[in-house]
Parts: sequence; structure tokens; C-alpha cells
Amino acid sequence: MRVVHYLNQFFGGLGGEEQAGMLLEIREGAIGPGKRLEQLLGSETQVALTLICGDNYAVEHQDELIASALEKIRAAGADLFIAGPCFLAGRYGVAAGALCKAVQSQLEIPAITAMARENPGADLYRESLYIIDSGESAAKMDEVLARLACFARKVSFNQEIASPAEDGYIPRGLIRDQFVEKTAAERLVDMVIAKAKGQPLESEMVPATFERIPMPPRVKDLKRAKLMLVTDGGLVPKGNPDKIQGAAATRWGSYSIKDCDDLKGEHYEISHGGYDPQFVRQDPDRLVPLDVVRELEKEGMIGKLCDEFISTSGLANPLSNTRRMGREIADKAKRLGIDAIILTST
Amino acid sequence: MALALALHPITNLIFGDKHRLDGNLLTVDVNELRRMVLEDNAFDSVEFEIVRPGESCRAGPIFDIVEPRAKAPGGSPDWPGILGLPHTAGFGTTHVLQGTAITMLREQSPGESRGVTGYVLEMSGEAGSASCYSKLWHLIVIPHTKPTTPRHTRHKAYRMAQLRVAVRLAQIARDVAPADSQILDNFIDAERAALIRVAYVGQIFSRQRKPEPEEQIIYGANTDGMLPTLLHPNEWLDGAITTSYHTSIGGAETYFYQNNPIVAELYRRHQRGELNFVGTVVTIAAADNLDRERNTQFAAHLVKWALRAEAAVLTKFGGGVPHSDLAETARLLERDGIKTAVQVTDLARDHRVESALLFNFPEIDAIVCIGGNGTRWKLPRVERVLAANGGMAEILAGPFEIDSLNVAGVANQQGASRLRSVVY
Amino acid sequence: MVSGNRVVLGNGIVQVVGDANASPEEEKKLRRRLVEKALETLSKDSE
Repeated sequence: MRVVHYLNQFFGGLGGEEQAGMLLEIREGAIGPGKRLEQLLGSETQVALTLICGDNYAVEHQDELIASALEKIRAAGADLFIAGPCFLAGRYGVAAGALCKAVQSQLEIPAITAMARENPGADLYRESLYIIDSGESAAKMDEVLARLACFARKVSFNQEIASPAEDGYIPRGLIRDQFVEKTAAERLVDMVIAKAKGQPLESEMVPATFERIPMPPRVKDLKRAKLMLVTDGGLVPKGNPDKIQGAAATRWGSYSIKDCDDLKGEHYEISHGGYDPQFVRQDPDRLVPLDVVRELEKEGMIGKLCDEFISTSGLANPLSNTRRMGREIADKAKRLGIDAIILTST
Repeated sequence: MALALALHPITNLIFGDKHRLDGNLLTVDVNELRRMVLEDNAFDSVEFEIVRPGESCRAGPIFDIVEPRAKAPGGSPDWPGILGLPHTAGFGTTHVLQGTAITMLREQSPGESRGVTGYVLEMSGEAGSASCYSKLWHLIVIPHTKPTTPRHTRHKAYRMAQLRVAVRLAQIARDVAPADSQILDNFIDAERAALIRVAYVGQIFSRQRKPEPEEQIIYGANTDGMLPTLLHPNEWLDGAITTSYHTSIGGAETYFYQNNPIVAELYRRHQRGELNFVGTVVTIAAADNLDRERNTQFAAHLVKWALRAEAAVLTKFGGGVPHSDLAETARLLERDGIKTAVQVTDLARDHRVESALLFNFPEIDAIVCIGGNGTRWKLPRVERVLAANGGMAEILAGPFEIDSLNVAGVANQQGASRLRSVVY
Repeated sequence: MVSGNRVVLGNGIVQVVGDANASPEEEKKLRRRLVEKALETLSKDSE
């Protein structure tokens, strides 16, 4: 098996911080920690090529680095790509992650790296890659190399990867299915008894934590504000021209309500599988309160109602969709000079 | 309240000119069953097919799966509130034709988010072996209702026909000595006082949708206006509950109310002296916040003060809204010092942990997650396809791809699932 | 439970700003109240 190994300037033995700007250099065979790695990978594996690059260059010219590296890795006929271990070195970790991700998707060979959980590269790339948890201390290099080699062998022989705890990689935050011996009922009762007795238990799911989004300041003067209506109840024009999916929607649509005082059921339909749509079908104002907002606009309580309302379906919609759609809708709202949005949600 | 299950294991099912039970062989008089079903003039005609375990066969969309069971005289009635008066279920003797099921098909796809094939019964192959139902003998009932029949009348007709057939067949066993019997009784005497008191809180409906007219879910009532209430474990097993016509992610069939895995497991441990199974609360998921507050508070209160439980396990019926109600109920129980474990479905269509749960309460840290979103099968062509019309039969003939959530008996929400989510 | 400073509780899942059981006038009044409440929270600073 032929391996290509990536190191930064320091672990490549070419200098310290003063060499952080150096361009990509190629060396035949294994260098520095790569020598021990090669030993641990076994006699049938050799490090054919080592790529060494300065940490600053890697971060500032990431695209060029990736392009050159991919070319070299392809030319070397590599079966496996390993980057690092990077420990806490942030620029190194980010470069290693970016390279591994590119190798994995474009060369379709396994690509593994190792770094500390706190390395910014871990945060960016843990979902796309297997990243061996190296811990912070480079003094543990030998032990980390052993784990890295062991994992690399597993991956190249297509063996089943076990849990993060067992195989020593940083949890990727992903879910896969497994068939097990015990029924859900048995597992449920097992768990509650263990919990009641204060014994350890392994929960099959864990909640995620989310970044706090700061609340924007208040609308200073409603009477001059431009308001937009948005809904996640899946209200779309008849025929669903934008083909917004009823569940896990990846699209949202923007629909004209110019000169319209009242939404009429016969002009709309609902694309949303999670609630009984009969009441909204009869009168879509029950979901998107256009009639009332027009009145408030005429009375001068708000400055202006936007000529379009925005709609998508919130049903069973993963954050990977809704985050993006939220940003896109926010962008549009900003471009239209919107000051405030009322989002009606089912 | 004691329920005696008289178990009659069936290893062969055939058609014949009289209903008979000879040892493990069940013979079914299909003409008699047909006459009985056609008494309901919602039907134009009805067909019956026998499917054996592991057969290269597929049927769908499934309306419901029911185990043939019949009450012996002197006990509670068959399907109270549906086939007769709504008197308390769960005592006396119930004869069970184990290893069989009466499986009713739908004439139309249920739509909603279950796709065009709805729930599919898969008897062989990889998908089949993942489902509990492939190991049973099925009497498939293929209904043909009059084209002008309104939807809710059609559904009621399916339900009535299916239950009547299930009871009729099991009645043959009443005069036959059972191969085995099981007594289910959660009596707690002074000697058991030190054992941990565990309750089950099970949702049976979600008010995201309105029940259909004449829909029968609990003792024949449709749950409208219902507050959470207490049910003896035996009531779940013995006809108090049938599944709503509205589907629940991964499926919920009346078969697994009769064979409720949570009730069975709690009973098993109760009988082994590991815990006290103090009882159950049956509940519904709410359509608005006030309803949710009321129901969850009420359910938690029943668990704490009526059942005096120290621990509780909770399941839901449906998708996201029920998921939130489940979490809120568990949160209230934890607040009252009652340890909980909850069963959820995997809501993450993008396979990310962050998408899987709709709650984040640190105290709810014992979670069983039935996966399913990550498993799809390419269903091959099979030798036999059963459906109510040619169009559906053609689609089901395959090959086609199906989510594990749409194969009956795989990602079951009633506790029967052997699937789990693994976080990595 | 969904909570937050700029979240107004609607009238349930199936008719967030509606009420099919009420007369059309009453329903409109409810809708207006809910929208006015929303506008009020938009013009206040959080917490």
C-alpha cells in the first residue's frame, strides 16, 4: 500500500515559525514522524511521498496548496493519505483537514488526520472526516502514531469502524443505523432501571448545543417600518410553482401580494405534511395574516408591507436546510430594505 | 385484575371448507368469512390470501395488522366499544392464535408523508428479515369498497371487518386446550414493597390531525377532548386500543397494542421480582400550547400521585409534535423526582446529531432512538404481490427503493423495533 | 417548550392566526390582536 504523508514545516524538520511562509515541498519517502508511522503501518505499506508546507502559506493559499497536493498524490498512485498529527497547532490542523477533505472527495481514497479536539480544524472538519483524537501534547507522538496507523489500516481494509470511544476518533456528530439484539422496549426498561439505580447508561441519542444568536435591537419606529410576512406552514400558490417539498424542504418561495388585501383559498395550496390543512385552505389569512396587516398599513400603524410574502415548509426539516434557507431569506429581506419580519409557524 | 392468555401456536394456515384448529394447523373457511365481511354493504367484494412466513411476497399499503384473539365467556368482551359495549377490557381468558395475523390492506395510498406505497408488508429478503411481521402467517384481507364510499366509512369498514375476522377465527380455539398459558397480573403485595415502582406513559394519538368521523381508538372513542387517563396494563393487551387510521412514523399496528412490547417487558420484570409495574397512563399529543400544558401536566400528575411511580418509560405516536409533548412530560416527571427513559424516532433526515432531537433538557438523558433514516432497501421483484388494485400491484412488484420507515414492523414506535441510532 | 422574547403564542398548530370556530368578525379580531402583539414585541428591546 502506498501512502502520501503531509507535514507542516516544523514536523517536516525544515524550520520553526520563521519558515511558516514556505511553499509546498516534496520529499521522496518518509520524513520525521512519517518514518515511525511507516514502521507502524506494517511491512507491506510504504510512505511513498511526503508533502511539507509552511503553516501560513497553507492557510493563505489553501486552494493552490490543495491543487498542487492533489496532483502530487494522484501522480504518486497513493492508496491512502495521512496528514499530521497536528495536536493543537491550529493552522496545521485546518490545512490538514482541508487537504483530507479534498483528497477524500476528489481522489476517492481514504484520508485521515489526527489533532486535538480543541484544534479549530477539528471543529471544521470532524463531520466530513475521521480525525484521530491526538490530545494536546506532542510528547505523546508515538502513541498517537500507533493509533493513527491502526485506524488507517482499518479504513484501508474496509473494516467496520466502531464508536468514537473505541476507535479513538473525534465524534463526528453523525448518526447511523444499527440492528441490535434487544427490542426498543427492552432497551428502554434497561435504561430506566439503570438510571433509577444511579448506574451508568449509554443514551442512544444526545442533544446538541447551539450557538446563541444575539437578538437584534428593536424597531425604533414601527410607523415607518417596512414589514415582511414569512411562513413555514407551506402555503404556496396553486400548482406549487417552485415545487416546495412538503417535508425536509430545501426550497423557499417568494410570492406577490401586491395590491392584495386578502388571501383567497382558491389561489393557494398547502405543501406541508405535518398538520391538518383544512382551515388554512378555507382561508389562508389564518396562516399568513395579510388582511389584518393591510388594515394596519392603511391605518398607518406600520410604514409599509412588503409586496411579497415568503413561504417554505418547516416539517421534518433538518438544520442543514433551514440554516441555509434562513440566511438566504434574511439576505433577500435586507436587499428589500425590510426592517422587521413576522414569521407564522405551524 | 388478571388476564389469562391461552396460547395456541400456529405453524400452518390453509383454506378449507370449515374453520378448524387441529394442533398447530389452522384451517380457514374463506366463504364464511366473506359472507361475514359482506354483511357490511360498504363492500362490493373482498378477497382473502394466505401468506406464509418468509414467502417471496409483498403486500400493501397496509391498513392494520391484528392478531386473532377471542375472549372466552365470563371475561371481558372482544374489542369493547367497537364490537360490543365499552366494558372494561383485560380480564378473564383470551385465546390467541399465536404466529398468525389478519392483515388488512388499503385501497388507496395514505399519502401524507408515507409515500405512494404507504406501509409495505415485506415477507422475505433483507427488508423482510428486519421486520417482525415476516415471521408470521398472514391472512391478507383485500377489500373492495363501493367507489362512492366516503373515506371515513371505508376506514371504519376495514376496521370492523378486520376485527370481526380476527375474533371469528380465534373463536375456533376456545374449545381447544391451549399449548401454553400466561397469567398477567400486576398485583403488588407487601413483600414487594421495596421494589422500584415503574410506570408506562404511552401516546396513542396526535392532535396534529383531527380524528376521522367514527374513528375508534380507545374503547371505540376517537380521543377528541380526551385528557390523559389511567389504563391497567391488561387493557392495552386485550382490546381497549386500536391504532389510529393516521399513520405514525415507522408504523404502529394494533398487533403491537395486543402484544405491547413495553407492557410485556415490564410485566416480565415484574414477574421476575425486579420491579413493580404499577400501571400505565394513556395520553395524546396536543395541537396547541394550552392543550400541551394541560395534557403533560395531567399525565405527569397521574404518574406521580395516582400511580406513585418512581420511574417511567415513555413512547409517542407520530412525529415531531408528539416528540415535543413526550419530552415535556418527561421533563415534568424528572422535576418531580421520577426517573425517565424516553423512546424517540430519528428525526434527522440529514444524519446529523443536531437534527435528531427537538428538545434539550439535560435531565432527559436516557433516550432510546429508533433509527431508520439511514436505512433504505432496494426491494427486488418478488413472486407474489398483493394489493387492492392493479396500479398499486405494479408499483409494488418492484424493483423499487423503500425507506426502512415504510416497511411495516421495522422502525416500529410501539417498542418492537430492533433498530437503533448509533452516534459516531 | 418554545419560548423567547419575540415569540408570540398563536392559536394552535392548524390555524396559527385564525379560529374557524369563531364568527368571521371575532376571528378577525383575534388575528388583529395576535399581529398587534407581534408588532409590540418587535418594537421592544429583549428582556
